[in-house]
Amino acid sequence: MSNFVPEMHDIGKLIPTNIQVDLTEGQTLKSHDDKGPSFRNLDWAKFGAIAPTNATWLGVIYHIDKITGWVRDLQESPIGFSVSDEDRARLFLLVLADHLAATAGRALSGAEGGGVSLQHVHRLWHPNYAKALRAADGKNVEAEPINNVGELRRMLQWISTDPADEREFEIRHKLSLLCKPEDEGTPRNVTSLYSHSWLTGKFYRVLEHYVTLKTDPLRLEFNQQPVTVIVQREQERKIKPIPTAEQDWVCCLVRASVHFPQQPVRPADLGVFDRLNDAHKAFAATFPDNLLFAAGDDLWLFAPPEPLLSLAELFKPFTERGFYVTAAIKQAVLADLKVWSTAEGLQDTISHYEQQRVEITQRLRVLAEQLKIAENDYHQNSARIRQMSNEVSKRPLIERNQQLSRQRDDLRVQQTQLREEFASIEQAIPRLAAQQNQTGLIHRSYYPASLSQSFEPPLCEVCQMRHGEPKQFGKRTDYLCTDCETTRNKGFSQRQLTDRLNRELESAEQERAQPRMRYLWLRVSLAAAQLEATVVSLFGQYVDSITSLSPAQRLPLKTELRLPSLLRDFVDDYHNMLNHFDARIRRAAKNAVRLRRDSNLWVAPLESGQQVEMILLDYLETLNQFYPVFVAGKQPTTSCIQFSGSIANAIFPFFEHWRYLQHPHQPINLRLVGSMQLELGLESAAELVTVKRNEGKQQSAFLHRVAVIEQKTQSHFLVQAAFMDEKTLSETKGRPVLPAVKLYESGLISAEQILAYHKLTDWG
Amino acid sequence: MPNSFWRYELTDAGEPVCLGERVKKGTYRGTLDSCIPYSQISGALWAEFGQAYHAVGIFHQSPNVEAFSFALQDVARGVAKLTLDVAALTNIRASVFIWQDPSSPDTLPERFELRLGALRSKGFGLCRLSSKRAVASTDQTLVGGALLTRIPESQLARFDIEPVRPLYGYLFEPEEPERLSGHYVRALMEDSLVRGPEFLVNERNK
Repeated sequence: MSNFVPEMHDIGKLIPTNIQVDLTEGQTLKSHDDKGPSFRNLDWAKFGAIAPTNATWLGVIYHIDKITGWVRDLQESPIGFSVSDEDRARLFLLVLADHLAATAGRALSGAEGGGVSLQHVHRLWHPNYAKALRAADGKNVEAEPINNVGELRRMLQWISTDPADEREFEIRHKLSLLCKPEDEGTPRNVTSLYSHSWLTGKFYRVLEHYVTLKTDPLRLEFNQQPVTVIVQREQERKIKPIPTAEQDWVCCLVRASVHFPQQPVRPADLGVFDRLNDAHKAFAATFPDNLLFAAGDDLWLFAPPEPLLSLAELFKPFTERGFYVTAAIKQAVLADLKVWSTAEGLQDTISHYEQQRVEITQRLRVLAEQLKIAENDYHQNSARIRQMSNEVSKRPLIERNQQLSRQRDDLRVQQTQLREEFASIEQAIPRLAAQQNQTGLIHRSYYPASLSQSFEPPLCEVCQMRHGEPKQFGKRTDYLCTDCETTRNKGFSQRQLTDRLNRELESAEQERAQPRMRYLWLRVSLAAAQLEATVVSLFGQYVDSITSLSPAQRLPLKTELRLPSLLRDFVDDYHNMLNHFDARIRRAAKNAVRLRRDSNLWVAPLESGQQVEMILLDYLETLNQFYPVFVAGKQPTTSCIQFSGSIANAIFPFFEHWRYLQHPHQPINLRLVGSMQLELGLESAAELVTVKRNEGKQQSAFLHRVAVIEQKTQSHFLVQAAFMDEKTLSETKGRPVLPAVKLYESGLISAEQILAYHKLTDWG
Repeated sequence: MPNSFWRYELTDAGEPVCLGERVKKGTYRGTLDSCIPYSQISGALWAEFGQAYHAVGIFHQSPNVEAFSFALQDVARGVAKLTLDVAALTNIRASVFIWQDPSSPDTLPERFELRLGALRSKGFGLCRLSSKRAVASTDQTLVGGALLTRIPESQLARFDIEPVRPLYGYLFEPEEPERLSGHYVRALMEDSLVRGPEFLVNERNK
């Protein structure tokens, strides 16, 4: 059996349609075509390559299911090699996987944004992504990936070598795949070919693992649901193998979160992160293709239904190690699996449209009134014109009537548009309600580690889930269960951090004083549950920006977006952003430690509050680099990426930091334990950083004074009064108003928030 | 037989309340700020009235979490130990639901005070319960959603709770009648998905 690399099925999309190649006169290269097999008019000999005879190539040229009877006709097609039943089965599964990984649903596949075709992917959160990426790599930002015959020749020669797996494909074409949209037409150009290709590979391999090939007639069986792969020509209209499989085969999309019950007390207990790392590695090794993508401890998975694979079995790598998993599961036939919406998300959308329906009704009422007035005026004017005989005195009335006529036309156009929009909302609401009933299939589940009904005291001090035994650690006795004792004895792999924390704790104990050094525990988290809503909202904004689409066209587009590829693109960028930020954070705090490789959690020893400011500034710049739409978009969208920092000395226990870091409320959350807490939107945070960085002595002295007022009086009112006094004083003395006071006046940030930020950054 | 409860409104009586988490590293004592677990409020009622009550508490709004420091003394050596930092709740607005035992007469007063949580000898934990009124789970619609408190599995039927997606933890259950010893029993934690009476369930977080 030859190799099969499903990731390569869309390789033809890397070749532009206008490439000048030496074909028969008048022909253009059909490198990716839904009207016939791809590359059908390619003469390999002209490129110094032998036409490939492998299954991967079969996938590349025949994976488009619109080619009627493709599987049967393969025997007759002039592809130059014999096709085995296994290859037919592979091709069949490839088409299913390709559909699952596609962004376009029914509405999207029928929509055209005025025929606009964009060569580069339009990242919803970073519209200039492709250009930025190519520029960073030193490439021509406008160039197509395969833009000359030489490159095409190299690619074709490589394909004919029958590549063994997807890794080489990634090495050769990653940048091109990242920049190229899966579909060039707007608004479908929002996902990269990279994500689409990789998800296709994963969906394919999971299906392949659980499908059995049966012959006579050639059919595939999945969970005891057989589908005939080849149909006779006369049966073609009645039996459509691909739609049949999509309607009969049931699978699961799962969004899972891994949690640890442990409350690390001593630095060595942070070893729980090593255990978590091991669990993730074991999971990725056992179920490499079920794992579509992951952001920290949130996983997106694809799995067959029970009894083929139980989710309890899937999560064993975690539960066996004492972690527990919560999951939202959508189990549906393949055709319904692509739209991932929770019942609450749909309810929010329905409420939004119901509100819009009310608004449109009101606007229509107002328009009708305006139209009535315009019509009345027009008729009255016309009557007066008819009665008048003097041409000169008629003229202003005629001009007025022309104006009224234009106004009337405008109002009618508006009325028609609003009626169309109203009608599409009327259609969408019952459709969404029906979907909501279907999403009863999305259910939440919990997969605990093995837990006993009851046990004798004492309780394990770290995980609080098992019986603890007294264990001696130096002079101290701690009550630990076997697992937590093992973790503590093994210690945490980040020795530099644990040694430092231990030293501080020991010296604090000896000196009977609080340690001086403060630590920032920092988490840049991705709110997985909000991610889908954010992406859908960004897509909605994009669709609204395409002026060639009518309101009636826009609504179905917004509600039929398929998410997996888009989410994967988003999560990929999130990882890149974390890595980038990891490099930058050490400029502000050179001893900062990332708790796990690829994790979103850092600990930074701080010597002064200025370092907090630098880290926040670095974060804002990094976020703007990867997700500009959150920071400086035309319609800023609430970021589903959140920055949370908790600062305290080494004595303050980690689990208390963790409790705070786990539930951020705003895009920026900072606290100095026991002193202040600050929650801000990104815009406010950026303003605050700018004001603080340009702070002069006068402002610093003013904020110190207000901080004293607050400390002595605990009165918010007096703090605000101090800001207003300062403004009056500046005006009286004719000196410029302090930037902090101006910021307070703008209403963007409260006086308490300005003061809190001052306390946070002005120490040491 | 349908279950009925006495509902009280609980407020702090000017003292902070530390909903007893264990002392960590000998220097820090945290507090629970999401609910009043069955074990805490039932234990406090036993301490106040000397008889067993089954109760749970939910917060109407998030209480403030404030930090307090104690300079503990080593009495034997006459020196100060390392400071103990305590997190405790203030501005508490909660409801407590006490299960009505149909076999015994109601002796609970209209309003009363009790001490709840840890560090009671350090001036923590005084709470006021008032506005006594009866509620029956039959008067309530049973809804699906996130549980608002912590209840041992053995007490779920008493509160008409049916687990859907449980999140487990453990609560201490003393042995009657001395209550000097006991064991840890498996319990449903807050945010478990359940079906139960409206007053114990947040319907929005299904």
